[in-house]
Amino acid sequence: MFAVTRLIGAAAVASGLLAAPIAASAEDIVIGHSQPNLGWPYIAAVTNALEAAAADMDGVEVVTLSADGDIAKQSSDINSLVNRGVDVLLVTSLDGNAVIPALKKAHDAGIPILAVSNEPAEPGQALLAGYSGPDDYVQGAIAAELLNDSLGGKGGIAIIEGSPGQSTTLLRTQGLKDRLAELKSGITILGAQTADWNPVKAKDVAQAFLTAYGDDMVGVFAQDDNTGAAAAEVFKAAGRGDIKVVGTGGTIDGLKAIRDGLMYGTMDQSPTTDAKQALKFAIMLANGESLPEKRNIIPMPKITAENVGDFKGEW
Amino acid sequence: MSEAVLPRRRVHVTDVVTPIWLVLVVVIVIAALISDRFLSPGNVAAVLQQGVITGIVALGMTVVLVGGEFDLSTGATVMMAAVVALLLGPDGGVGIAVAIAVPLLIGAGIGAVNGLAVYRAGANSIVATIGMQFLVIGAVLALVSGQHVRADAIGETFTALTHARPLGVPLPVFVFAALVAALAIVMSQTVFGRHIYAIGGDVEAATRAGIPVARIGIATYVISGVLAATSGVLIASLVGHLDPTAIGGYEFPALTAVVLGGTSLSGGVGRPADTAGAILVIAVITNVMTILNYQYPIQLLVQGMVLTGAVAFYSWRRGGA
Repeated sequence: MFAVTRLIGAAAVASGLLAAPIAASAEDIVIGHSQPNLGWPYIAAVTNALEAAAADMDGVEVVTLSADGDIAKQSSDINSLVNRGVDVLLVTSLDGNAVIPALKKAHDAGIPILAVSNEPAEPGQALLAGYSGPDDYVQGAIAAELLNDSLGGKGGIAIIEGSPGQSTTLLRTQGLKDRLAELKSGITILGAQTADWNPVKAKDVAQAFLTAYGDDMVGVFAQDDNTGAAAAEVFKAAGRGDIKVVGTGGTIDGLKAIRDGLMYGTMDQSPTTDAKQALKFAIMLANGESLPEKRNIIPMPKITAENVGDFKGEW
Repeated sequence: MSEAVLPRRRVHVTDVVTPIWLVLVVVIVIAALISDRFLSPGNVAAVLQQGVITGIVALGMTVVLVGGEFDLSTGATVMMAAVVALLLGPDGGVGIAVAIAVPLLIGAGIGAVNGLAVYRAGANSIVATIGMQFLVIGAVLALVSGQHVRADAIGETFTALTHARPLGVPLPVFVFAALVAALAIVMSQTVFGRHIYAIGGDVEAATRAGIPVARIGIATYVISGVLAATSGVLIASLVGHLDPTAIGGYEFPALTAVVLGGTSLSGGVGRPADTAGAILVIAVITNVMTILNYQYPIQLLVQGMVLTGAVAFYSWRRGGA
């Protein structure tokens, strides 16, 4: 009986915490922050950077809720933050379509919404005050420039894609193709296969590419650094260390692969840059200011062996 | 099940050469015909290597399923073992032994808990092992707090586990072949193996016959847990650093191979060697479609056709026998 009472008491306190008005001075800004899954390395790094930067400021509080990879939980997370009356809402969509009804509620409640790192689908765009973060399409375009430079604008390349059908995968591939066309590059795309972001599968795909394209293949675009480094190891072991592998993300392991001479290059997608820009814009929105652009892409500098020492790799 | 009620007869060629091996011959011939590069030595080695990780997981699930139960926690155990092996830092000598032994022991522990839940507490094995999957994934992600996992230093011996190529064939292929042979003997030649078939065929009859059902059943889960952990350790050796969330999900590809190999979903029928045959069939199909740059929807379509075709065939044969 005692245990039960205590349990109910705890539940009441917990729900009270969520529903109660914010006990702070009127000047305080409360930022609601809905993330898809704090178990994902990039998401965890952005969240840590955002909370650390906010902790250094006076009068800024960040309330982060993780959906743990559950579409329904992200909607209920956003509803909780709306009910709590946050001043601004930062949302990294787990599913660009499923998140829209929850965004609509926040919008109707008059809370400005900043999409961060990952955008909602087209019908949700009108609900946003803006977007801040990296851009998958631009990353594909940067990879095209890296490959075009390293290969002198000619030769065959293959693509190791992320999970099939994901917007990240589709946009990175499209960005690469479009930029190669804009550059009037002589590079041809021999094939594209999924590795599901799994470096073990990336090794299988890399082997199959060697079988299929042999010496015709001189470059590879891998849609993240882990799969890129894994493929580069296969090429090196097969005596094809000459194949230029370009990864995506600028992770610790990607930078190491560049230093070790395995990968040719990647681009920096810094969680700290992402988080700081999002925080800056969140405060501007909370203060009623508008953003410089509707879509604000973070800078994503190219990384190769020449400048790899300038980057530390954050995730 | 049906074989148990059939009258005794002489060992027939179809007892050894099961349909999956004929399918394997057919897909190899087709693959060689549509791609002249398929049979190049480098590619044959790649095909063999490709199935190993999923194959080892599938062997364990075959043993559990012959006993009539499912183990869907294996994908999570793979992830756990890969992460734990890297976190322990297989930098040399004792370090490598520890980085291999600890994940295998945890895998055995996961299997033992699964076995207790299913065979002692009587839990539904699908639900119990999915619950275990969540539990293990949650624990692993909490352990690494959402970060990529890497070892500061990896000893050459640990890397060689997957990178050595005796006779031009990747070492894991030999590991897989040895495991298939060992399990084939255990399942067909030992009392323990025959008891597993008996339990999967008719658990009540097995109990009446005095077979220690719970003890045998728990042992099948321990085997599955250790084998899944073995795959995880091989992944750690193969890639050296990883995003844990990218290497879960081996349980369904493995279950696909188990079913394709002819193991009955209701237990009592199935052989480790046939699961290995199915793994090779899938590896050949995947490899040749990748070589020919067939896109994912087509690959999924073909794999779906092969699996549904196999299930329909096995059902027809068991029903009609």
